[in-house]
Amino acid sequence: MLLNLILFAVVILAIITSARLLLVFQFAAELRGKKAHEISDSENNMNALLTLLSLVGLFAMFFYLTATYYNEKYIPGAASEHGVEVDSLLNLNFIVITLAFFITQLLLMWFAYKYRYNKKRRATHYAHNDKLEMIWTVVPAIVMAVLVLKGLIVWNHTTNPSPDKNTLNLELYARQFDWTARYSGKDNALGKASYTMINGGNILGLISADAIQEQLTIVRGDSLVVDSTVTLGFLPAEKLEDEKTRLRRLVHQIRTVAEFDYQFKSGSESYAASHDDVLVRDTIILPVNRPVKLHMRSQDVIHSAYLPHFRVHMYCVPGSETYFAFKPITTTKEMKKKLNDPEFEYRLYCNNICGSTHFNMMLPVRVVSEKEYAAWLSAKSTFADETKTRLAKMGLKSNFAKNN
Amino acid sequence: MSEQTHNPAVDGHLSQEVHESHSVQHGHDEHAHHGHEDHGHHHKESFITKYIFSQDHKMIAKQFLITGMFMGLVGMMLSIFFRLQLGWPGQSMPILETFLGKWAPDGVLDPNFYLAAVTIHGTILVFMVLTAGLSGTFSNLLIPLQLGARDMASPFLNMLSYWFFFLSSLLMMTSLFVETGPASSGWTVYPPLSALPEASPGSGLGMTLWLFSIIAFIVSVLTGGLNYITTVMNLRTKGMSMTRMPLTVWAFLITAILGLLSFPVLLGAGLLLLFDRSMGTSFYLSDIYVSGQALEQTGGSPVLYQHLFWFLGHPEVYIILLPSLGITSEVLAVNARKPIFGYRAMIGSMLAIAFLSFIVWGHHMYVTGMDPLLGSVFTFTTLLIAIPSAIKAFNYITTLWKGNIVFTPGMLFAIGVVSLFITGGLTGIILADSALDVNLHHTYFVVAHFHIVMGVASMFGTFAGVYHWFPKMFGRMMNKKLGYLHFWVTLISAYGVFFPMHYMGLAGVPRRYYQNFEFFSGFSDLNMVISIFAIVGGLVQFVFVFNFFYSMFKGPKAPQNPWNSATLEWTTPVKHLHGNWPGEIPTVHRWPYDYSLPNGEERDFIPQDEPLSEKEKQAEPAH
Repeated sequence: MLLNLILFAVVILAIITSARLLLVFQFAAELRGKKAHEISDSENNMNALLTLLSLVGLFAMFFYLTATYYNEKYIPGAASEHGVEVDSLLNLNFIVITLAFFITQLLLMWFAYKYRYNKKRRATHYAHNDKLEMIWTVVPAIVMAVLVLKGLIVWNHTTNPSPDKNTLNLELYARQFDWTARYSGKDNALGKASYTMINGGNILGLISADAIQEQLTIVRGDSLVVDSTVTLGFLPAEKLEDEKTRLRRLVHQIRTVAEFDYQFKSGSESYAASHDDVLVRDTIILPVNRPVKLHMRSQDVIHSAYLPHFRVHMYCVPGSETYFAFKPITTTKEMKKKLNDPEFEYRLYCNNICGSTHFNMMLPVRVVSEKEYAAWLSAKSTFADETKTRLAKMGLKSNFAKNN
Repeated sequence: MSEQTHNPAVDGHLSQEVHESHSVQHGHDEHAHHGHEDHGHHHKESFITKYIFSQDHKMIAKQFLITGMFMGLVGMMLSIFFRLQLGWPGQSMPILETFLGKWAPDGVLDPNFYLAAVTIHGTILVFMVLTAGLSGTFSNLLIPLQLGARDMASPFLNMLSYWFFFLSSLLMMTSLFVETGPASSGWTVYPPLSALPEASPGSGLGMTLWLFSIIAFIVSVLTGGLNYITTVMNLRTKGMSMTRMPLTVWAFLITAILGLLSFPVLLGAGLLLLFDRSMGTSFYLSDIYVSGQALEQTGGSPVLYQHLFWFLGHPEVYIILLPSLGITSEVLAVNARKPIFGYRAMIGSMLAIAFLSFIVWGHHMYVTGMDPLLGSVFTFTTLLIAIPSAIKAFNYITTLWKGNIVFTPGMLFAIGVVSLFITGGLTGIILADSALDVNLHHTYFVVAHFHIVMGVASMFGTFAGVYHWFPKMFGRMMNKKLGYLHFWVTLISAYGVFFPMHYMGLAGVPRRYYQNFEFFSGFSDLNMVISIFAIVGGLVQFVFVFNFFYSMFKGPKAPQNPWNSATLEWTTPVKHLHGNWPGEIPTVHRWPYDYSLPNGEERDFIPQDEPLSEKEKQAEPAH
């Protein structure tokens, strides 16, 4: 506290002293007949020279940073099929803008230096030149036309990959503040899900006969647990409002889940696609050279699935599903060797601000051979198994015995 | 083309008022005043009507500027706080605790407050500083002065515009002190994060204050903008045709139109968000499970908010940038002692940029799950902007060619604007391309791009304006040596902060991360260097603030026309009058850029209100 006070006093003193000093300088300048609004030759020359130096500095910084950071070590080449195309488009763009950067900055700062004030010279009154202006309208227009065209071709390839029956369907599910990957299992189809089906065990809200049974038990139980003080009327008004909201939401939830139950029991929905789905929360494993279609969902707020090495990025939007398809072409092993970094991992990041520990929301991604992938996946327990175990703990019987 | 833009009704009314009050004054102390020096001082002004609830556009301009400067300092300090965390993650910095108290326990920034700091920094800089502080100051100061009007079309609305801005700033400042913290979902406040207090503490009271602050701000922009447009359309002095207006006024006019057309959409977006937050509607909310409860809201779309937000958000970029480019045009021409090159092309390109700015908003949303076809369309429209931008850049450069450049601090900042506009604009070509944006979206590449092209460039434009028109505002000169120090250190630190960020972005480092940079090999060091530049750049702004307030009171007295400029504002007396000109309003005879005409005269400029010489009359009317 005392230290702060002293610091504060020092700052105030410094301001007063500078103001006094400035006043003295100002008087001295006035006495020497210098006018405050006139820029002296030495000032003009100094600033012109500094402009030239800053040009050198700017270019030097560009070269230093590019040499240091624009390379494999920091920006490894794309590890996906469309990513390779994206990278070459990026390089083309960089060549164009770097050229433009050098030409324009050079002209700007060189002119500023060269045409610095000189009493003996008079500026050239040069108001316009239609031909010149036409040149710098048409040339950028042509360059842009080329870049737009090239860009749209790559964009088309990225967003409309040629259909492939072998495509792996994989869900990335985001919530504050972690990721869950869901593999579609043998049927390669992702089972249906609803946010009303979410509970501590079924964090993705997947729907299956067992899951419905589990959820109905849980939410009906929840609705019975009412703060006893409510009934006695002791709860403060604000809390009462919260309790009302909670119950209203539960009613909505029970209705929705009961509807799933009806659909299943009436036979119009089997909800069987989720049975063989596999949920993974530690590392995403992808087979190399096989197209993957990512299905993205979110539980709460907008997140964003960002896989920079694969040039993949897509928001996860609550209330709707988004997609991104790509094909990994380099295994993690190959990448480790290429970068000479035994610790290397591909990563999935959240790249849309989502709350306090947004920065921690990431998952390693490993690209392996098809064989390793198959072996890894078959060892995983399925959603049906997990639900069955949970049901058993609750003392309920699974429906699946007959289905499986 | 008709030049009957001079509005006799309004002018007549004003000058009549001046005459009446003049005679009243004479009645009070007969013979005391024979001269006409008091002409125009028609109100006995109290402290309150002169300095607080002033209706004089010049005073309102100063109010906008000083409030904007204060908010700018707050925004800047916030950025230094989070730069401390980014440069030295997790390290204890006692200074943080001094300033932030419970938000930095033991001198380590709280992750929630980190996000709040990022959010409020963005909001303050975009809205309070670079919209109100820039447009509010210079549109108010220069539109009437450069057009030859006695005041704004509606001085009362103008005053309201300032006070709504003040209210908005006040609300934003208040939100810094609420218990759950200020809004912390990024300056774009995307729902559901911003809609659900359960999802983030900042989305509680802090967010409500944020929304009310922005609503007040929109009212301010709209009342201000209406006034600017009406004034430009109706109150130009005799002879001031549209094509004789300085480019500053053109820029302010286009900016005001942009604001008037886009800010109401933000108001809509904000109101719907307010409904979702407090009335249980579901415009933006659907299928959400948060803190153990499944919300009832279904059917809304968070992406709808983004469409509405960016429908303002993109024009907003030009609302920020265009005034700065207008100021640059004027300051470059005056100090290069040359006409701005391609005056009509400059107007045309500004109009083109303004039009295009309304059909490119989707380029902020390439990865929201939007239809790829829409992405293609937005890529195309966005890249079109490169063409008028290139015209502007080359015209600026040609304006310097064969000039006779006087390096005033204002001129240096104007040259800085051009350099930054080019550097930042070029990376826009990459981000506009949907295929490339996928991997760069929300990375430091974006941070680098928009800070350089819109943030720093516009800030430089503001500084150019302040140094250039300070003598007009306060009748005194700013210290140029301190101005040079301010410029060079700011330029170096601006490039030092933002240029390296491009490389971090290319490597895929996400923005708004509190820590975890170790996953991106080796950027911890670069982050530290960036933070050092940021701190140096931040500190040198205090030199500017000191220079500003010192010169306001103690600076050397300014002459009538310190920069030998041809525009009308320099024909008004140094001492301010409510009504601007003591006698009649000057008549305009020529365009504003008659510099260094090859006419054999010694002086190298001809003021706009000087009638054409015989020789000029015989020659074809050039402009």
